Amino acid sequence: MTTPSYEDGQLYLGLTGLMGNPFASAGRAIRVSDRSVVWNYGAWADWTIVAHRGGVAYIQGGADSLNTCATVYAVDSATGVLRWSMTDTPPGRLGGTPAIDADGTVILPGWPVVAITDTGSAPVVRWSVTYVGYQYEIPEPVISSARVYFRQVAMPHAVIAVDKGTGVVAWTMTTAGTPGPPAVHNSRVVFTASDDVCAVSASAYVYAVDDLGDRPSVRWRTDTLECGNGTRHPLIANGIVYLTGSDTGDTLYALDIDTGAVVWTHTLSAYSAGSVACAGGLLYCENVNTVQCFGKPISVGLEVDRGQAGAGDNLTYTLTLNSFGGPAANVTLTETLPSGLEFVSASDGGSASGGVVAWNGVSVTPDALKTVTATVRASAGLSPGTYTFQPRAFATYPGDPAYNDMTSDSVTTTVVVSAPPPSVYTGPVRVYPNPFIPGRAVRGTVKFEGVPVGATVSLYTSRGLKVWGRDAVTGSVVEWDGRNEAGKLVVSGMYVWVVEGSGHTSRGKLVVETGR
Amino acid sequence: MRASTILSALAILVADAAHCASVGEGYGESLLALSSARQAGSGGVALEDPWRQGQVVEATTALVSAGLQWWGFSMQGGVGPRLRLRFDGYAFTPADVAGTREAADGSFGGTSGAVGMSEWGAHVTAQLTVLEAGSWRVAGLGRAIGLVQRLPDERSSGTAVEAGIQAQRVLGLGRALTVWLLAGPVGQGAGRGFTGHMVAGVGLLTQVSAGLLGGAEGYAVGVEGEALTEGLVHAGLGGVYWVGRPGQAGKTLFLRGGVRSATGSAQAVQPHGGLGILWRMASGWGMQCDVAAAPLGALGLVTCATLGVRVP
Repeated sequence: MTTPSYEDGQLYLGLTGLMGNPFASAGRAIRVSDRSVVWNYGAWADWTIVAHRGGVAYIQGGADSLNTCATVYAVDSATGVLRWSMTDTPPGRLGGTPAIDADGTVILPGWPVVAITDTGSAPVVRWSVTYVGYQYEIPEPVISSARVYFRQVAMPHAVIAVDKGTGVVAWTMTTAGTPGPPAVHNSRVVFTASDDVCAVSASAYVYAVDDLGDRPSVRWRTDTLECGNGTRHPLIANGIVYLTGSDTGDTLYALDIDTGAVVWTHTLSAYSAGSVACAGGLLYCENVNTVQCFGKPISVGLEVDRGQAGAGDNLTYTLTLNSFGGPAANVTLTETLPSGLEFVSASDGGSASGGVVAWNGVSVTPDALKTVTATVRASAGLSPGTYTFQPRAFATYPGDPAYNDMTSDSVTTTVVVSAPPPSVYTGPVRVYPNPFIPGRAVRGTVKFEGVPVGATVSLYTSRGLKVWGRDAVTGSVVEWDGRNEAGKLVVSGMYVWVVEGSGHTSRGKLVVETGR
Repeated sequence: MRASTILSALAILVADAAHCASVGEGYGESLLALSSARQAGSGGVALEDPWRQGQVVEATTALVSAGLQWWGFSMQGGVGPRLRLRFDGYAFTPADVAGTREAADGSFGGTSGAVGMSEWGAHVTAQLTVLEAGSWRVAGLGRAIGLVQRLPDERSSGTAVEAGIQAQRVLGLGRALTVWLLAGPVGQGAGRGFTGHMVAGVGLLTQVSAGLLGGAEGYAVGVEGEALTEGLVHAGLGGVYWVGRPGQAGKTLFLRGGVRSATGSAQAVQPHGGLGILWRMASGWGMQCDVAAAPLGALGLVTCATLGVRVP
């Protein structure tokens, strides 16, 4: 089995050695919810790799003279029906996991590397570049904005950044050992590099490199982390770098993407040499012919009752604890309130201090979710903007020392606080300024405020002659510039305004001084 | 009974219980509701006729529900056999105009004291008989208008004149037909902006000795139209019915009603009605009072009351 990937509730796998035949391979889609097989697509090869995005699964396989990856199949992800296939075009070998961008660009690694645009019914080759003359040396590219990053297995070991549109090399970073497949997030490229591609126990470092455009800049490197043979494929999610490693390849690491510090580790039940997929807060690790599902022993879910709020509004958020690592006692759940949000109340004994809402001594069992709620208020003077909730849970598992002092992953939910709507005057109609002198009034108009929507505003001379009016007004404020319906300034004098609407009529007197 | 006597008596009756017609009429900005239609119904401008006998002094007040109030005073009488003059003065003093302020950002800035505003005006109307032949009488009409308006930051005045003609033919005993035409004003006034208009009308008056109730009765009907240079058109149809002999000592009761159509006004169709009484004494003195009302749409009900004294 090869690298799994996840999208929209389905895992996509490449299967090899089916029915004992080393050249019987297939792409497979598995529904995560019930682990059922959605479809298989046979790809006769010694190994098969599947990548997926935007409703299409790209399966590397096919049979050439070597029964290796000479063909890419584009298969509908929902049905497994073939859309198109491309074999050895241009001549060469396809190999490795395709990289797919949101704009339809598909990078087919191999020799040469081929960039195509998937039109849905056929591939269109955009560029084809042979970087070095060694097959398999350019597998597992990743795409980030305008870049494609490769690892170069052949000597010299390197990570290569090329322009996505042309394939032109932007920079090359040589590494001390064989680099692993890169992962990228916000122009930060993470990869492993070992001293020996074949030695499982050989040292491998994890590099985080910032792409500065024309050159790489090492952000950090873990000198002490053993990452096995250097083929580890890191996953970057939620600010964490996940990858498997250790001497025996059975450790799942979580590293801080900014510092490289180990956030936590987890011992897998078996050796895992491939990549990690993340879905629904769970991690899926490649294993030998199986997919193992891992997660932090304690997780916390967050839901806020509204995504938008105005200053002065209350928001209630719900935290859900899930301890699938076993019974957990004395769990501490905390949520640091975004600045400007005031604590109102909390369930289950939760309290606030110093802007942190905390629940202490919470017990959770694996078969029952624990839910707590808190209500906070957006301060009356809260500035419009986006406010982020990031609760965490700290758990102790007395029965499993390996899980002591575990900290849950942080989940994030934002609430957009909008500017308070302008206060709408709803009292009796008031007209200002009175007397009305157009040259002195703001915008040169007299304002009728508090007019019901749909009402009619009329202005009459003191003898009942109508000089101006507005029907079916849509706002609470109507303005008049002192001109009659013909656009001429009215003569000075006393006028009577009348507002009729909602079964009620208001009227009053307005003195107008226009100098006429 | 001579037709001129009938006309004179009727003039006192309906003569404008409301000077609402002119008081506050504003010439060209008519429509205090009771004006043209009632004039039409009662003979209109023709009521201010040179054949009218005696002198009349009247005081009028007109109220609009919006808190507007007009005060009027008029005198009319003959100067010689051919000239008749009428003076109308009025004051407009809207009560309780609440002042408001505006904040610098255009929002409501609170209330201020009452806004002082007033207007005074006067009209002098002259009717000069220029032709009297047989059953025909023709008179020229002339009006001079002056007004003063005072606002918090503005004080202005205006003057204008207008002219017209009227002709009357006595159709027989107790019956007369009158037509009139009046145009103007020509003038200027910073505070008012006189709007040009032309008024034309026709009225028919009948006095009978034995009417529906068996005694002396009479009626008059008329129509009048007014066109304003700003494009508005007003038209009125009205009538008046009385019981009694207004030209003699005794009491006379009269009723009137009508309808007026006015474009661009608070109410396109304005019905109106009124009730009045005249009490004449043998000495020639007399008293008359009149009340009238008309709905003015969004501005509410207009009421008008007039108290008059006839001087021998």
